[in-house]
Amino acid sequence: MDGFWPTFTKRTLRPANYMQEIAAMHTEGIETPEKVVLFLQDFCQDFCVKSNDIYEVYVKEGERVLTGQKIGLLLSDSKKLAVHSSISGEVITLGEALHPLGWKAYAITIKSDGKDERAQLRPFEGSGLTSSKEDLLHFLSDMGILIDYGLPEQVSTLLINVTEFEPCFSSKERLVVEEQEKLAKGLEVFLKLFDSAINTIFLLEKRHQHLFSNLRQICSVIKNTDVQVVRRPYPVTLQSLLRERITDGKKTAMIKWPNAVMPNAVMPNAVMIEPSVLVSIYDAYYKGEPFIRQLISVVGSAVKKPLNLWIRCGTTVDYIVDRCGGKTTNVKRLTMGGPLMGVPQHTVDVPVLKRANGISIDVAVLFDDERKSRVYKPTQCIRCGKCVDVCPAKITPNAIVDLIQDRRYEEAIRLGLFSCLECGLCYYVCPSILPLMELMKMGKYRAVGKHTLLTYNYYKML
Amino acid sequence: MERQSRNLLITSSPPYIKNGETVHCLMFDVIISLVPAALFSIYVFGVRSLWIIFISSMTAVITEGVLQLLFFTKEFNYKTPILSFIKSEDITVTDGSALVTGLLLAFTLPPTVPYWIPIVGTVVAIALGKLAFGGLGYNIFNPALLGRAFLLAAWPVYMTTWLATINADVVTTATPLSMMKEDGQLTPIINLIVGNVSGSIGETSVVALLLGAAYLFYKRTITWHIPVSYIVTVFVFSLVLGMPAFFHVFSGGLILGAFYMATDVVTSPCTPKGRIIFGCGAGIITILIRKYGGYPEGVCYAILIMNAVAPLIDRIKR
Repeated sequence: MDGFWPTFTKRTLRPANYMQEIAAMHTEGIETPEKVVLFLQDFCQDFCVKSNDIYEVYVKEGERVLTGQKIGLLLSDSKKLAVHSSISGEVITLGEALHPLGWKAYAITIKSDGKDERAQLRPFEGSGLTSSKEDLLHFLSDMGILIDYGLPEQVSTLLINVTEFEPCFSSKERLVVEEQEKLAKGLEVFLKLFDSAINTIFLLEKRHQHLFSNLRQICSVIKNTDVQVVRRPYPVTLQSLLRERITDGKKTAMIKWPNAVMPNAVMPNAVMIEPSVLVSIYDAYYKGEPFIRQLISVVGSAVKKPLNLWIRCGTTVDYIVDRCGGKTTNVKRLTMGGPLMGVPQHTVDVPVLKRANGISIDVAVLFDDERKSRVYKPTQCIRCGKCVDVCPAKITPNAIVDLIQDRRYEEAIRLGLFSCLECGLCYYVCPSILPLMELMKMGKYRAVGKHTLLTYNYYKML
Repeated sequence: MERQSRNLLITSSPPYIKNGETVHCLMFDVIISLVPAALFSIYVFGVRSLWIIFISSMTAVITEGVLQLLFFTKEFNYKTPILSFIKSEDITVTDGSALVTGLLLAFTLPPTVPYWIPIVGTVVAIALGKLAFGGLGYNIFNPALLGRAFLLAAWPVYMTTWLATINADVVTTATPLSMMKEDGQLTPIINLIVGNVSGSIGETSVVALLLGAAYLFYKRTITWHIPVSYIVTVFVFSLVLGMPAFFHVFSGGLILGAFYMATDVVTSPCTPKGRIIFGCGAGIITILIRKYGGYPEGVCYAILIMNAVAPLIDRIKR
């Protein structure tokens, strides 16, 4: 009977930041996993069962590999992305494995020998490449860093998204605090790629204003750079909408800026990137380390110590649960990403996504002690408009969902179905407890003719 | 076999967190916010207003329960009536919307009405205003205002017999608006704000109503768009037509209508722009009825007319 008796507490329109304590703690590293699973296919054309992407394998079963050794190549529509072994050890299996986004993909499993021997480091300066754009792009993709904008000439504005949309993650915050120099130098390298960019803007949330001085220091080093304090965070999915607009010139993706920080006309060609990309670019360019480490937040009731952790790419979740003081048998729910936009997982032995900046692991779904979980029963929409008030994409979820339920997809698209960012706030505030975000996702699949809800929108995590 | 041996986790679509707000919460917020105005009316008009409020709200709940039991439930176990009444998914009396309708209808009645008037009004409001359209969420018009409009059309004498305020026995007077309309006599603003005037049960005291509205704003049950645009439009438009602006803002049922009737979530537009248009339209119609219409008061009909237009506004401004 939750919500039966009237309470005097103020209901919030946005989730409270309830893991604030880990934002103040120093990051730790668990960089000695027993095994890693590295995928050579990262994308599924029909979002269905099995990925059909092309790949190249450079190792054989039983072979010994070193940390940072190139073991494969990921090819997708004229882009190449090298995959590096993130630990030293022996290749135990080559074959299909379950990708965290829901389909089967080709993967290399490497068992650690505990020595963590490094392969030869290849920084940019000693590599003999010229400083032209193509060479730099080639170098970065060889280092496993995906720069997914194919045409950097058109870009006029570079946005660096320091805002954190998920309520319990703080990995970006720690990154700015601890790796400030790497961010600055990585941005310098990155600006060589996007030399047409007129200005660079750090998007900072109002509640993270203690990071303002750190970001100002970066701005003082690099010219045409500014920090913009925004009231609400930007979801990660905004990146994919921006990229769609640049590469395809699609007008269906109508992006209205949530805080009216900048109007549409000023930024026709904006690119948004994550700060973690800059750190990995620094590592690759100056130290010659390929992309084998990532920073994630681990939260949830299944781990005793919620933390920000440096892990090796491809570390499986059960190892993280063990090291954070939890039992893998107790885990009942695992999400790649936070509680608002995460991807649910079937098993605990999946590897962490390379793009994820956090995972949340819970002991129970129903009647949990720490976070009260309940099953709500959806009722009729009462047209209160709270979803409209809270939507960061400025669309009307209730009207669109009505049309989707009537299977009138063309009208739904005209109302902006595809500019939905899938942030989940509409469900968070809905007093009728309608599964708005789920229906919007279903509508997206149905509108393009794919009658499946099996998998997750790939673009979401990019 | 390999799949079954693994510890499979529970998967469901995100998001996994919710702010816990239900329709129930919204409705009970409105009920709590109506308490100061109800207490003030009991203080001013005596126990009779308490009886009217009580009868009206009880009739509303009983009507909704009985009608939903008769026409809306698909499966009902008559051997365990109470348990199945509570557990039934089709019977939604417990969400409090019927109680809100009954309370708001009672607030718009004069304190002198016979006790069968609120009963008839609430039955019409719930049965014709809400359940005939399919229940909460489907209704076009605000049920409480529809009931009042019905009563005003059917028994105009009962509905326009007003009671003088404190320290008076049953002495009939006129409301400030009808005094101004018929005699051109202005009531002092301070009396209007405190509520020391004659009028409907709940609409007299601006202070008590604003106290409740402050609670609604604190809980974010309503947004500022409709009340502010409504009141500002009434103020500006009455200035334009050369009428006493402050008097028109504080007299009659404008405050009650702007904060409680017009902001009814089901019958008002969803988008912020649409809400502002809704409030402006209601304000203009109110002043037009007050100036040129036959009735001294126009809030009820203004909001009903704008309710009918609300779907169109939603279509244009989304």
